Amino acid sequence: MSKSAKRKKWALLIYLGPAMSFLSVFIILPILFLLGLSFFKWDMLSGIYSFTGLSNYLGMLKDPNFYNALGNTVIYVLGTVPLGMAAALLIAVIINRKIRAFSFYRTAIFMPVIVSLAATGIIWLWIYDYQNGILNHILVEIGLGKVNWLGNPDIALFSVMSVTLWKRIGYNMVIFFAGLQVIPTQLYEAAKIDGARAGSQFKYVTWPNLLPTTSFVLIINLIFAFRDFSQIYVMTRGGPIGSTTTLVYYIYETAFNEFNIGYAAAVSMVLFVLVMILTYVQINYFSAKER
Amino acid sequence: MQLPMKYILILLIFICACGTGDSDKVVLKFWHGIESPENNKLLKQKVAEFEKKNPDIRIELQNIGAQDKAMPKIMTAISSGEYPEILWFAPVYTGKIAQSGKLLAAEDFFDRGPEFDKNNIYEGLLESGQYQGKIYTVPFETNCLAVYYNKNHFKEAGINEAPETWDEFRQAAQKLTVDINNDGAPEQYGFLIPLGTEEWTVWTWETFLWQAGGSLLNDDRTRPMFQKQPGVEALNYWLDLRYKYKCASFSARNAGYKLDPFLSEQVSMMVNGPWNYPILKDQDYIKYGSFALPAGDRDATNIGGENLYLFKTTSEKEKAAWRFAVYVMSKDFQVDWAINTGYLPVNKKAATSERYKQFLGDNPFVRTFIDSMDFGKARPPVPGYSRMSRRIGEAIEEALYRKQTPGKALQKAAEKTEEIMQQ
Repeated sequence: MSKSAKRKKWALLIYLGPAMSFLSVFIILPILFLLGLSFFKWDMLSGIYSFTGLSNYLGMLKDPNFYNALGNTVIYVLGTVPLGMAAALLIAVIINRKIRAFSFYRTAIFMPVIVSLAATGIIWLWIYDYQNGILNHILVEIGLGKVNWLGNPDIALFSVMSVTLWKRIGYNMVIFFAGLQVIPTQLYEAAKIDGARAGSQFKYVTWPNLLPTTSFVLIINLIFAFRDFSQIYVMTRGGPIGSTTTLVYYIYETAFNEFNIGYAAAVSMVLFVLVMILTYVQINYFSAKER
Repeated sequence: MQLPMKYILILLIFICACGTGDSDKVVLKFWHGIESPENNKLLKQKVAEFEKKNPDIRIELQNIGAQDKAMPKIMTAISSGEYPEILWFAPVYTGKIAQSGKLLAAEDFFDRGPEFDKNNIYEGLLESGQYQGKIYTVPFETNCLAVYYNKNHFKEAGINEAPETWDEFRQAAQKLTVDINNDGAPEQYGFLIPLGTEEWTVWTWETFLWQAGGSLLNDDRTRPMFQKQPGVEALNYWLDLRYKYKCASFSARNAGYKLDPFLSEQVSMMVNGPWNYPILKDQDYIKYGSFALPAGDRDATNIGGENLYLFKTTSEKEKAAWRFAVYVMSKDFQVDWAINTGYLPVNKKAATSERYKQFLGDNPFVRTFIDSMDFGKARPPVPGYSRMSRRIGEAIEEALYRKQTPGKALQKAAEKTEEIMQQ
């Protein structure tokens, strides 16, 4: 090996070292440990591990609570991701038109992002409160009845999803906005000269040029949606009657209230594989499109 | 490089020197979840008194937050070996934590000094800290449940005497349910049903189960009994209050202990404990009182409170921790603590002391709870309690939402409890 190549190797190690060691200790090793745990029954208190083979995974197949959590997760993801992205894109496009006071709107819409999730949960807990909440107060004032936003098992999940949207739209908007800014104005000018209207401009200029941004936002949003926890923990604790228990919340419940660690690890692996597959599919799809 | 090394060395020596300042003292970590600021202040004061009397011991107080949510923290602390010397926690988890093998059996220390007479402590409270027939944890403070009521509402409804039976209680709740603006939905309800799946809901419901003549487990604590007829009756009683007589409202989920609906006069009666007394005394907006829980087939209330858990460490620390426990259970500590916090004393001598008797005479609100202790029962401290409780909580919620009949919901919970008990 030549001297310079050797040096390059060292340089690589030095540059990547900190990040890699951080990743290994806090991400990769725990994942491997988790994979191992999912084949065991672990009594945390006495520290006894007993190997149970695939029984954690087989138990999942017969567990109605697991299916309930999986179903809720699917609703949650499908409900928050596309809507959150579409709304954010729409707002970003409008604000990008340099409408009056656009920086005010941008700030206002971004504001929820900087509030911590736990605080957001508590704020909305008050807003949604059945007896004293401002939302029901307004509904009664305008002649509609009270709604039990978090207490009604048919509605609770959607109430939580709205809070997620409220918080996430701002984040998506800022990224879309940044993506829109780098699209060269010549392209729009050329499109105008060719007689393209706003709709066609969006379709043939904005959308294709925004694709890398969209792909990033989609991946990030899916991952976010799959692992959302704080707002559920603070607002509903998975209830009523399990109606807001998503996979992540179910993992928490099984691990830290039931102390059924091995089973929780198995559910975590399922979630992990699910997110991996989705991310892989998306990256392939978008990189094929961009080429 | 020479100069910094020297400085570092000096610094290190300095740090070591500082560290030794306390080395002749035994340091005990004390984890607790006492929430109200007044009670925290009092605890600090009482601990300072203890340290003055025992100059060789230092107690490090650490608040671990609300008790309902503390279990995961405690479990991880124990499994990683980072547990405190002393823990303040509900007695019902004695079995669960003793199972780890890291808990001291307090009974082994009873005759090892300082002077301690277990006959001064209420027997029932010592039983609530038992695991496999041995006393592991000892009581710090105790309490039980009774009914808070709004005196003005009672006057308006023309109720002059506290209801004593389930029927009287239901009739009172009906009279207390008022539709103030005639829109068809009452603004004031007679009773607050604690909705949720967590311990508060279950703890409250257990009193009704016992009143109906039922019990949680069989006599040797190996099989569930709550799904039998009395359990179904108790759950049906709540359902009837809500749906048939429409005289009770649901609390916010898992917040049945919060005073908001009572203080904002949306409900006239709620089940709660004596520890809110400082808060109630502090306001003059509503007139409040307390009476014992109504009787079904019999009188019953649920004894709560907190115990001291002492953990295995070094023999020196263990001895010091026991000295602190004896101090806490002493007459003087118990009287001071009870008078200032509203909790009830665990020491018979404290309960019968002149000072405390006078306090009860002046504070009939607390007297209700002391009197209720006569028919109080404690939850069985079996290792599987917390998981069983969650199953019961889920059954109660399903029934209250009418997704399942009380009988079927409780049956399902009982089947899962069987599995838990076998583990």
